[in-house]
Amino acid sequence: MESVMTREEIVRRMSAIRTQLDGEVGGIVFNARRLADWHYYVRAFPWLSTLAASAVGFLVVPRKAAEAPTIPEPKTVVEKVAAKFAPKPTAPAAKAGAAGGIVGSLVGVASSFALKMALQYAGENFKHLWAPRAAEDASTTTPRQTVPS
Amino acid sequence: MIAYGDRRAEEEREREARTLVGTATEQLSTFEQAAVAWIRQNPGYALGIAATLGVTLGWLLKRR
Repeated sequence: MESVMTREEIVRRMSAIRTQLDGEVGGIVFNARRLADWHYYVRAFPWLSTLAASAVGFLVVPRKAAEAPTIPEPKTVVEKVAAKFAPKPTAPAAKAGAAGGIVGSLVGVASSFALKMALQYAGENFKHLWAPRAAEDASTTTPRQTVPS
Repeated sequence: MIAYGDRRAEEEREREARTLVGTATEQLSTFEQAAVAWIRQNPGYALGIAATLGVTLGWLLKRR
């Protein structure tokens, strides 16, 4: 049996292979496009797709955040004082309040000191201002000594 | 001992029950087929409705 093909036969077989290959490539492309489309999966598995969408929606909702633990009210005096000077949990507002308290107390101390000094200065000036007039008044109002007859 | 009339009445009730079950099954199957056909025609709407139901359920169970 002769296994050597003629030139025309080789050309014919190659042409047939090319034609067949074109159809196969087209089918592969069509299948790839179909598999990449999500509609295909919904149409192929309708109940599974709807269940998956429901599960995704359920998982998207976040869980409720846990509430902050409440500190019980202190009862003894020591506990009350400790609670008063304990740092507050809300950082920015508490820091601003603490800074305001410190500045306020400093301003209060300074103002009371200034008021005290001003009163002292005014008292001294008042004493100097009224000292001559008081002496004059004292000389004029002293009763005359009467000589007993 | 079961009398003939009683047995006949029982058979009649059983037949009626089977008819009812068969009717319900047919109706359920019809509904399922219609639902699947609607989902295949409107996949976007179906997924949207399912996701909305899931979010609603999650909100009710997790956030309340």
